[in-house]
Amino acid sequence: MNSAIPHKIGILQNNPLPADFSSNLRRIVQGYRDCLDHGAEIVIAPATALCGTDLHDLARRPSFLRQQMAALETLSRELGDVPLILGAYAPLIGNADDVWDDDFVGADSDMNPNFWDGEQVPTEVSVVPFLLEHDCVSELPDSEVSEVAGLQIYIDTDDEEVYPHALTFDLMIHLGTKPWHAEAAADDASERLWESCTNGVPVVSIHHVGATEENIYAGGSGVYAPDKRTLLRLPFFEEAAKVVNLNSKGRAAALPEPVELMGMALARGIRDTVENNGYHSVCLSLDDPNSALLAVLCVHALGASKVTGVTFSGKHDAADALGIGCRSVDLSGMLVSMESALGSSVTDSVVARLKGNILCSVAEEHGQMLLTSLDRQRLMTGQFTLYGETCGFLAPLGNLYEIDINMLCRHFSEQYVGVFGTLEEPSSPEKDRIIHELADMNTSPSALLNNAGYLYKENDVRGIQRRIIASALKRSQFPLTLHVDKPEQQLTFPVCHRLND
Amino acid sequence: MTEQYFHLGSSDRVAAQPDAVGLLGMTLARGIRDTVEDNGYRSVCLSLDDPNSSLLAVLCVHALGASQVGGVTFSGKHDAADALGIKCRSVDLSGMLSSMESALGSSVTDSTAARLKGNLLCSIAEEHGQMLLTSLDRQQLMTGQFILYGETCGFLAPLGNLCEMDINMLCRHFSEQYVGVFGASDEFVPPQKDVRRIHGSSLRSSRFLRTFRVDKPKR
Repeated sequence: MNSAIPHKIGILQNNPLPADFSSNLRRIVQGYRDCLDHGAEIVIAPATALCGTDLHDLARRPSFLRQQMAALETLSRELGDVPLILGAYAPLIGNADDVWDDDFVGADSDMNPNFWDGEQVPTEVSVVPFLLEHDCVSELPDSEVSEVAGLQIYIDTDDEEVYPHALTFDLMIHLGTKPWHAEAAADDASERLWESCTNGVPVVSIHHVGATEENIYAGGSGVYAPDKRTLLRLPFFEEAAKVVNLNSKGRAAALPEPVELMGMALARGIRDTVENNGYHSVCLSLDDPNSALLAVLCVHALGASKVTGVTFSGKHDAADALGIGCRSVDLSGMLVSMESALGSSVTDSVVARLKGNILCSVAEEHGQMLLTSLDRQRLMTGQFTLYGETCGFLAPLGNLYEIDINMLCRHFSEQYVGVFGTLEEPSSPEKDRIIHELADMNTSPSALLNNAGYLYKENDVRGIQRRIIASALKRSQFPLTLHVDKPEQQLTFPVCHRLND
Repeated sequence: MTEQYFHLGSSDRVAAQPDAVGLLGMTLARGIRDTVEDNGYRSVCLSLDDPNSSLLAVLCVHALGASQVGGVTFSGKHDAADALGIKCRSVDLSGMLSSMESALGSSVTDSTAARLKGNLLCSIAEEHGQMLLTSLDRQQLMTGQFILYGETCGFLAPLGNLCEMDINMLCRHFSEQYVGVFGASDEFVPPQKDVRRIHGSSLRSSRFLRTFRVDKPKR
């Protein structure tokens, strides 16, 4: 690489809040100045550093796009001579003026429900790269080469592998927008190394940090050299800003273990969900099968003083070992009066709902967010009582199979001695695999039974098929879960679609 | 099925289209019936103490017939149930509230009582294999005037997308057919605050309740 062109790249990964321009702008400016202090010649920020993620229809609103442009201009005024590259939303068709023109389809008030406030909505928006220099904002072409500070840079806002063999450039930048999943970090590292090696240029991959709705964003931004070295990797699930010299001979540390990353992801997801919703502490039941793991994750995320456990069975060993607050509640009196009010014996589901009510009351009394420890197997097969075990705003383990939970328990058991009791091997891994095939991979039951590669019993497959269908309505009222699987495996279609054969 | 043909030159006229309120009532009744039956239920259960419960009970009777509707009251009021000819079950909460107070070691709040009612409604619906419905309306939903796991208990909120004005119009529409169901308070009063203009709500993505869409879909 020519020594006259920039070789010190500043990378910042922040935790942007959705549409909170002022807070996001402050964080970017802070990270930008840190990079400048360390001699950066170009600074790169994540694709959604300024706008946040999971904006849904908000990103299509002209008022939002105007606010975003104003924020970009404000940010550009804060910059020095060093350029900043980041992503922001832009309408996909033409420029903003064309899209909001009266002739544009959708301007008719009958067609457009947002006409009442005098605004029309662009059909589609997308994240595109922007170059910010002092007092100057320019939109850069996506998946093309642009010249920035004497460097020919190929910028892409997609996470997919690219090999633009017909183009010549000095640096490749990926402004990632996809959420984290269990294989994301390893996939990203291997794809970027391949790109760097194939294109013969350094590759920078930037991801932001944090959790919004059910998605977790990992950070772990990296810089990869053509000689298959990872020059720099920012920490996972933490905000950071660092400068890397593209000519350096250093090598970054290896990726953390997948189970460690999963624990960090869940803890980050819990912390952000709790804090972004105005809570400071959490409440959970200590009697459920996964409650010890959930308590450990909460302590990891928020600290022991911010976690309260409630027990109906009187068991509080895990609470004592973790040093969290514990409240014991006796249900017997309530069960007797409920029996007399209903005029019939109290069923298990009535008891579960009564426990849910008490958990809600305790959480409400202390201003805490209630969490539930249901896992994916119980969720998919309907092994829960609606308004009983489902009470709570977040089910952090709702996307985890028994095998994942077991691995996490083993991982944390060394650090938190005496919390988990005796750890046994997963009791029904076969069940998990069937659920994964039916619900995540959209495989039909007959395909699962007839495929020679699979050796599942028909009773097991059909039993799970029936349970998944029967619990679909209950599942529709399930609290938020934290996604740890690939986005394409997240169920977004009517579950009966492939399960009716 | 009877086959019917029409001739372009015919001078016959079809009946006039039902008025908007009538259509809205038919839509909601059809929505209730299909949601109940498509999910494997035959009958429904609802609380009779909530502000819109008379209208919900009328719609359910319209959709499924009086024999398929069960009402539950915690206040002992069952005039609407008697007028509609639906079954009504009265439940006394006082014993449960006092035992809950002693278990929690503090006075029982309104939200705890609402959740206890939700719990009992679920239990009764479950006992009879009925789908539980809630009568929350759009204003209550959008402004958060409800207790989670209390008034929200149920698989469907048929009135969840209706503003106060729509509910009043529907009450007036049905009051002639169902005499004695709607009290004097249900007479049309211009709403104090129309929540129609709250757009881009997070309600549609809410996972806690299903409502029928009666507003225009987004492009």
